[in-house]
Amino acid sequence: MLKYIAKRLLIAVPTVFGVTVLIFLIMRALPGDPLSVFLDPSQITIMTDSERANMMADLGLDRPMVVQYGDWAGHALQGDLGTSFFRGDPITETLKRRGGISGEIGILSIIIAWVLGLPVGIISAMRPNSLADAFASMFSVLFLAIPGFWLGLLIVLALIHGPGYHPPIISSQIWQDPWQNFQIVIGPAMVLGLGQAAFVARMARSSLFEVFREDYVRTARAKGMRESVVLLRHALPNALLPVITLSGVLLGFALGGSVTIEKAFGTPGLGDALIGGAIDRDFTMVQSIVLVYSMVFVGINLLVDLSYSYIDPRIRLG
Amino acid sequence: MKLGLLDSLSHRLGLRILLPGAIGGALILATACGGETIIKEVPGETVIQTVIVEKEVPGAKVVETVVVEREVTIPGDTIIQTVVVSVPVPSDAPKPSTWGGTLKLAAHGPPAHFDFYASNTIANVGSQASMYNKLVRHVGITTDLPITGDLAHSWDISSDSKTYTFHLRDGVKFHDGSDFGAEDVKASYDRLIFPEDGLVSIRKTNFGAVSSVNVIDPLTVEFKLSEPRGPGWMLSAMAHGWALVVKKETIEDNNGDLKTVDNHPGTGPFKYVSRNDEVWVQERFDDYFDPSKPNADRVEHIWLVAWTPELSAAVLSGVVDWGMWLEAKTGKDIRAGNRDGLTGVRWTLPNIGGMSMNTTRPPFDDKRVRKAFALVIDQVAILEATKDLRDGDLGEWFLIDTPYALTTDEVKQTPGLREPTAEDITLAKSLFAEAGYPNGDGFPKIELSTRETPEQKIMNAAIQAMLKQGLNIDVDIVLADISVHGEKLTTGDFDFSTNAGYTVGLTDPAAYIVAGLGTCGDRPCDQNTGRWQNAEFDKLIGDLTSETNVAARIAITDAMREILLDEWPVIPAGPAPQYWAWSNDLKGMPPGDFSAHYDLHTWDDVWLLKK
Repeated sequence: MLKYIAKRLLIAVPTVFGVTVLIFLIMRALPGDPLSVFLDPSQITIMTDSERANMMADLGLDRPMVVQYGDWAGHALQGDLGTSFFRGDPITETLKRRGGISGEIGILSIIIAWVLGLPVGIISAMRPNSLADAFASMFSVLFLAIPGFWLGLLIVLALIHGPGYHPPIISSQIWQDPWQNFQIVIGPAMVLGLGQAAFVARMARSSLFEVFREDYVRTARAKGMRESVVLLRHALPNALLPVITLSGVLLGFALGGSVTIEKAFGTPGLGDALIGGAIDRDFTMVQSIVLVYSMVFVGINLLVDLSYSYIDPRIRLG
Repeated sequence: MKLGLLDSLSHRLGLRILLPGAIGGALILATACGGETIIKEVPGETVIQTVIVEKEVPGAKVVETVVVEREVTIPGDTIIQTVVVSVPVPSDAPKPSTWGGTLKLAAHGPPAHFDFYASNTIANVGSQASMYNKLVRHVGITTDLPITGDLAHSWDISSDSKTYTFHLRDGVKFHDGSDFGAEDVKASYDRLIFPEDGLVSIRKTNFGAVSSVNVIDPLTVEFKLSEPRGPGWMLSAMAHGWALVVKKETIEDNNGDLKTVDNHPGTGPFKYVSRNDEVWVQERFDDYFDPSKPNADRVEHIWLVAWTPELSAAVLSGVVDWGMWLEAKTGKDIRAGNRDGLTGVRWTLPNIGGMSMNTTRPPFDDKRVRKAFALVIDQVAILEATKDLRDGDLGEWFLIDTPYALTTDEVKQTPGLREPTAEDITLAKSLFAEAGYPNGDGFPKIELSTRETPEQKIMNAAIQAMLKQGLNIDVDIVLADISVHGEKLTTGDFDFSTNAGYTVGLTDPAAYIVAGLGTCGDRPCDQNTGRWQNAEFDKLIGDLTSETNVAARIAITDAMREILLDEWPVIPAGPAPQYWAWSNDLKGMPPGDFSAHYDLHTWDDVWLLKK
């Protein structure tokens, strides 16, 4: 097992390296002058050559690109992600504060997806072509089709124009103020969870269909076991493997997909910081957030693979 | 009560009226208190009269402000002058029962850096101004925002208007406990006016006439000018939101570069607590020089970007106590009183909106093409199409509602500024033909570049259609974020842009017209994005700067306008009013619609009814 983990981590190194090089190059290739944002976002000011050169030197942008990347990557390897391009804020602090919120939203959305999606998928699979199945299909298609940010905006508008409520917009960690933290994360998590629940329901339904046709399920039913026992003890554990795989992917998507939904709710998460960094051409901030995202993706995939051997003992990793 | 009476009286009459009784009362009060009266008038210039009454009272002092207005007639025009009387009252006066609380403010930001001398954005001054003071300041007790003393309690202006001497308050402390003095003023203004090579100072042109800043004694500082400037210019420049005074050591320790220095001691009503990319928290400075202020214990500047739904949502739901830059529809709604618990006013940032044409390359190096564009673009239709997103009005190159600008009626009669008539379209087509593009034939495909904002999208689609219809030419719209758009304008890599006006830091035309349309040295000035240079026009700018007689100045601006109507370096638009809104629990806010730059962000005057 340890050998397997080590091997996977080794493979992850070029993946993460590739992602960081790519995002580094993309940020530099993007058209636009970071100094326009730096000086004045509303009125354009023409700088003298010496003013421009001085500011570019301050930001380290006068150095060759290889040196810029090497400097950033070298510090990142030592756990120092540096400071934000403009304000000089330590990026690790931003990641700690905002990453916790985004992480909570991701995990909570998966829990919501399972709590809502799995029962719907089970009911749908157990009573195919019934009214319940039709309702479940409608539910799935509806939430697959609705863009999360739009649903988020609708919820925010309804809350403002109804009870006059808006979730807090300053981050608060769960150990600092659990109630405020809950108010911050529940909206985006619910919107993301509803979309993911549709995926989970459809995957659970099709997976259960296949498992229900397996010999061991037929045998269990022939032995006279209750349908609930057949489902929970024999069918569901085997049907869950693809759902777990999907959940891993969805958790990754939750981090990426939360970008626009966080914006809709005004949630102080990583997505919000990523958008702000991209607009402001805050190269180091964007590079660092993407680095974290890529590492989280790699980590989630590894955890999903590791979980297989626990759920299905026939699978041996190595 | 007095203020409310005066204000309502003037508004009922529709104009500022003569109030000799009030003036007399104020002067009698000033005399009775043994105070100093400074009344400075420069003929032909908008003048702010300030009467400062200092009364020594054992112990600390609390300042109460009384405003009196009077009408002053000068040759050729009538300019309103405002008198501010600051009257110290005993220190044992009871504190307001509404003392305390946390003021939650929607702040456009976060700022990209912290050097307010190198910034032109509210993202800096909106959150930083509450930690510092200026020499003089605007106060929002009436809608014309009179100027009164801040770190300076009084000032003298030499008869030739070339020496300004400021007498500083004694006993002012920085947040670190050190004493404030004239050396700090000198260091701050030296950074602002005479920056080291490579350091940006956006407003140094406001002080272009200042030749030196000299310390006379620890509490007196003198500004020597190479040519006369009236107080309407100089005091306005010093009351401007960014003219903040910092500690001398801060400037020295950082070689004048404050871009990454967010926590350095000021003298302001609030001091630094913490900051991140969500909020900037400041708390009451207990040793503030005015012990009656600030009223709030704490301020939270919460970053909410201008014009966004997030900002409107935060204001409407009460997450913040105050917000500015609201979307026009929400702002209008609140101002109309349709939202319980909220108050709104219209605030006009005195900018000249404009469409800039790159005059250094074809086809806009031909003034006939530029004029034809102005003649066919229907700004009335554009304003109508974007009215839910932004307010606006027709305008010209000079700030409307000043003596130097055309009246609104005149604008509506001026070809190129008005709604196009059939005659205008015919003239545009004929100019195009003269320039070698009959019926638009042979006209190169040009790019119409702008920022990617909702109103710009609508505006540019409309302009694209107008140019096709009026001149039979095709235009490619290029929408880009600020960094791309900014790069195009600053490097000159653009044809035509609809997001390229110029900032009016000071309402004196000589101060802003040079930045937007003038030449600095041998290159276009900072905001002259169209890179238009005209020797005759530059000479008139020089004449306007040195002339103090209002009638003569108006004649000069008329001559400048003649050139502009022929050359059309920029197609101008009027300022776009914005909206402020705040909770009804927040008191001490401006009593109605007003026009100002970012000059009211100290937050020491306001108080909260509900904690």
